[in-house]
Amino acid sequence: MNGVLELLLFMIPAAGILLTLLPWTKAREIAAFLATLFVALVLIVFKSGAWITAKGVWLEINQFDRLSLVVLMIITIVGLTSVVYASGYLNLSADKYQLTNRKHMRFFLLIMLFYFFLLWTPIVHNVILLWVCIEGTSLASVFLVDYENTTGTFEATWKYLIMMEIGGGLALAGTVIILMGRPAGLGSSLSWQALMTAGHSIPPLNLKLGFALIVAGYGIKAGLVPLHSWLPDAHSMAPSPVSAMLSGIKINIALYGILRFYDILSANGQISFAAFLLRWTGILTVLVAIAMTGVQKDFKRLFAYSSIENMGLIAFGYTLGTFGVYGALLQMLNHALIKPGLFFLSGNLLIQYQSTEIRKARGILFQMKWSGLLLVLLMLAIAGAPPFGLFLSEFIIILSALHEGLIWMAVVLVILLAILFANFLRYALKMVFGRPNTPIVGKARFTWRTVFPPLLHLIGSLVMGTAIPMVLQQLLYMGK
Amino acid sequence: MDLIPSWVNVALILFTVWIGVVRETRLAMTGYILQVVSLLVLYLYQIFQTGESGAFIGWSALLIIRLIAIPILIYSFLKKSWWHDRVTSDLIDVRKAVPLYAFLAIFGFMMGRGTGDFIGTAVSVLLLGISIVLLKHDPSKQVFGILSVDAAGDLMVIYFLNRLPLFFEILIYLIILWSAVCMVILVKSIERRTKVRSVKQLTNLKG
Repeated sequence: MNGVLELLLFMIPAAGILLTLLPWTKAREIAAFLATLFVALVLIVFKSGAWITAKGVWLEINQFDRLSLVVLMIITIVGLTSVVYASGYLNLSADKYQLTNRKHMRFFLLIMLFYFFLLWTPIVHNVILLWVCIEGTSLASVFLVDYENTTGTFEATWKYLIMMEIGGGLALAGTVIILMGRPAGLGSSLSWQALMTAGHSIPPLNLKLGFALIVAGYGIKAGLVPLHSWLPDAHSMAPSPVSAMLSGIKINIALYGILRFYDILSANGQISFAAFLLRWTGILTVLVAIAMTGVQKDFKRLFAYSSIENMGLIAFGYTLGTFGVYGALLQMLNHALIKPGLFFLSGNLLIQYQSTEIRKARGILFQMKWSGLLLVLLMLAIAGAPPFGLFLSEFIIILSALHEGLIWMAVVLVILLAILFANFLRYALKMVFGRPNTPIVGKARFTWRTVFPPLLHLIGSLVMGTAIPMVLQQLLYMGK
Repeated sequence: MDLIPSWVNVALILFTVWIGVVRETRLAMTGYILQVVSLLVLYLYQIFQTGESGAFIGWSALLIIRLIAIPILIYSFLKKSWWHDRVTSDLIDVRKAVPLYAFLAIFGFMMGRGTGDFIGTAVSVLLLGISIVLLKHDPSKQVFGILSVDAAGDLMVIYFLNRLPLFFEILIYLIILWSAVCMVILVKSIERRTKVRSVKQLTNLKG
């Protein structure tokens, strides 16, 4: 059972990668779609049985815990919708990207490679393989960021690569320092479960130094302040489906790396140090990101800063005990549901307005009625308005902070989130209901592939805010 | 015999400082090669210390990827005129950078020394690599900064030799090779796109 699932999860995306080398554009798109769809189906078939049992929240199959499962869920959903959206988006932006058959092949090849490494990150249990997979996601996405081949995309890509490489070096150093401290009795096992059960035998110095390097290394990749400068550039310059995957999955994957080691530290009696470091990094990230959302002129950069803010909130929430972990995982899921929807929609706006400047995309409701409606709802959702999912998870994180006695932090967080809400409301009003600046020259013919994915993400967020499936609640709250 | 790793560790730090100080890319490449040779010597020392005869495969992988493949890759991608270009526009002057490098080398060593001399050296090389990336505007030299960061990772892997399966070790080297490929492709295109050999021009996006 174990081997079959892993084999399928390896073979399906690998086959998808190979099939993207086919010479026909349509075949490539279908292959990528089917690969991501089959991965989702395989996971549903193999996992649903375990989920619906009372004890099933800790899955014996592959020993996925709730953190792995949440990340796996995110990858499956966002991966599928991104591939669907990408096929529609590329066809509508053929002129912008000077799309040729070869370039189309390059895009799908890289996006499937990116997907492959993303998918395997929560599956592997080995901390070195975890590093390899996270590095793989960074390197596979380098030339996706530079897909448009302009000076702007090049600048973003260079910054992206340099930061990812520094992050990778720091994270590897941190990982090896922690591994060095483990007792010889563990043999050659490098799994995080073994490190968690190592008791208090890992020297505190190894744990502290290693974790600090990991927070810096994976923190760069997750966009945590002050190492976030690559993120708004890469997200705003990459094609929209790539931005959606970067924002919805890639940065969560990096945060996943940090949270794994946080659990290891907490199991080894160093929770106070780990919580202190992660909590303050988280709150600083929220503070800086929210401040930056107030001065944005580009809507893709605005959404990118909102991603940074959410990473900060998740990092902060994860340090707040059982209830906080529940809130943080819910926040991770909710953010990954809404943000790709916003990036998909920004792709549609880019096609229509030929620009990502906020001042040029005004009065969307009067020019693109449905897109305008969708945009205002998604922007309210990401700002944390009820009844969307993010409201709930942010509320839980604040309650957890109060429960942990961090009253001042909770107060600061409430104020910051209120500022964020006001900022997003201001932008939404400008963009959706403002007086149109730019007359639309010919309407783009959007297909279901470009309209359905953002709609699906909006509905998902609404469901998460109004009726979270019981099995998911069980998984998030009671799962180990 | 016991002094060998100490001297090689010192040499490794000095070669990294050398990469940060030199003006020409070809000299930075020389520093990189000497850095890798130091790593290979330390690796051999570890093999003899731990008695891991199977580690020779890892040693060969390090030799092939780090000492042969990456230099050839960089050499074949960069224009010949770039190798001898002495015009640099670093963030701070080399004379001011030297004390900074010295400080970082000592600070890194002291910080990591509590967990072993190897780790002290690795943290030191790591900080030096990052500072080279931050201080240099020439992208070809930034590449050697990144490779120094990777060298720190390699050094830790070498120290961890008897407890790290060979497969994972080779995976790490392959990832480094992949990143080198990405970097040289981008370095090659920087001159074509910006018409200068500096990342100083790439400041339109405000992070």
